[in-house]
Amino acid sequence: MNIRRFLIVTLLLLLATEPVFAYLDPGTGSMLLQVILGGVAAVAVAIKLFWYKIRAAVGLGKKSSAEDETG
Amino acid sequence: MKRAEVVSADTFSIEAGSFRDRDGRIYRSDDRIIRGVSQLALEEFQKLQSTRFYTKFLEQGQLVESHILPADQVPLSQNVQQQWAGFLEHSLIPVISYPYEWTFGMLRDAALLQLDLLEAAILEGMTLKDATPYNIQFVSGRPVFIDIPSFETLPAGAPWAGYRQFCEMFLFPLMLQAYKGIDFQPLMRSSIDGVGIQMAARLFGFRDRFRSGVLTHVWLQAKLDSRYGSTSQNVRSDLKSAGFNKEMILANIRKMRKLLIRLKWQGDGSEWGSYEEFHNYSEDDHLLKEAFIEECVAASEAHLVWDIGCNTGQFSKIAAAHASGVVAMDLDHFAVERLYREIKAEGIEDILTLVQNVADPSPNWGWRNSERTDLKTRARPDLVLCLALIHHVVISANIPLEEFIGWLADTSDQLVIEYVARSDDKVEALLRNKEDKYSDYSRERLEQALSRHYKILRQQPLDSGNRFLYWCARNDHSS
Repeated sequence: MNIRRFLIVTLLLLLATEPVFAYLDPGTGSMLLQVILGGVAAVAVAIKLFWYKIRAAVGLGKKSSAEDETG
Repeated sequence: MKRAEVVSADTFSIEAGSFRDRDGRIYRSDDRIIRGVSQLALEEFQKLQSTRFYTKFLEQGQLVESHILPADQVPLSQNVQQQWAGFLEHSLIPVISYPYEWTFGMLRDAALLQLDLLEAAILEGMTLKDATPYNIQFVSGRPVFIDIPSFETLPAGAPWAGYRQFCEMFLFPLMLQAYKGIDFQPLMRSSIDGVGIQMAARLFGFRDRFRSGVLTHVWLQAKLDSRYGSTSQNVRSDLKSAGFNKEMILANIRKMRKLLIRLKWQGDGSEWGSYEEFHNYSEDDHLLKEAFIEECVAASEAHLVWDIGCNTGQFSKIAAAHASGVVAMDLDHFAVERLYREIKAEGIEDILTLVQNVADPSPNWGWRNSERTDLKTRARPDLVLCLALIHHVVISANIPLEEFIGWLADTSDQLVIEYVARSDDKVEALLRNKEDKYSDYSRERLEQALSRHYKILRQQPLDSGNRFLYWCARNDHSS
């Protein structure tokens, strides 16, 4: 499915950037992955969740603001 | 109340493997399984009982029977009773087995049951808080879910809490078997939490990423795990506020189910996969052997029979006609898988198929070495069938014949054993490229060893002259 591919590519881009988070919870990565596995309905969630990361990945916005606002 | 308490308060034991969930604990009192539960777990159980899916799965025999035990009927000490808000009683599972003893098909059927239950629960506002195959047991040849307090209310916006565990305990082992031909049992037996994400990512190579499910569930999950695994961010609340909802879990479950159903494993390279077609004795001998075994099992009045080295399971089936249960074991994964598929297709209920090597059996391990136990502790047999196996144990596994017979005598009161003579071509094949250090491998030495522990009740040579059958009962005065 194209949307899923889009999400995977987006996540790959995100993985290429520096991690903004610090410590705790071993299942976090698996929780985030569920956004990709969640089908069409999850696209909006993914964009919302990763909006600042997406902007940072494509060179828009500043990482520092992303850190402040992704919460 | 006092009477039940006095009678059996000191005869119960705590199930050593039930400590992980702080909201409950399993106690065993004689043949009764009692679960102490917290107030929260008790309320969740009452909620569960009111759901439609609970009734449906219970009727289909896919959930263990459970009921709340009135306070005056709890056969546990006063001290234990004070620890819990309430008690549930579950029906007894005849033989407890573990995923590292199951075949591919068994683990997959367990995985599918886990998904079916989770999907049904989510549709009615509940969920399963974990996803471990240890919560599933095989009864009458089918998987049954036993960890009732695993059902709880699904919080709004929560992800599938057991997704990662499902991958590590079900999906990765199954994919390794189907895609790579790697037996999952040794992996599951060495790590109580299954095949970890990072380990799975290393076991699958670059090309495997093109196989169904590997890119996302393995590779991407491993990347996300190492990148975000130690975040201080509250991802749970982030997901919720970003609008994550149960439709997304359902989509994941449905795709996961399709993925599991598509996984195929045909056991290339199985030593015994087609043994039946080339067993080396005559049809007459075959009938003679069947008749002998049938008579012995019937006369033994055994309740539980182990068929060690069951191969195609033909003698397990004969035994099952007379005993109330048979555990059919073999070290050959695919032989056991074939038998599982067969009993499932034919609806044979009294045989539990397990992958088990008598020379390297399931250990006592996990927390305090008692979380998971050896098979004898879980299911002591009344009769062991040891047919055309002794040459493998003595010659291939290098276990001295006397030690093997001693172990058999420790294991059960009765034994049906087949001796395969040195002149038999199966034995010749084993010795062909091996130095013959097996002076203990002879019929005389076998009979000596048997008579040390047992009384030989009946014996039967087969016409070929290469095989001898013995039915023995332990002589309790020997030691």
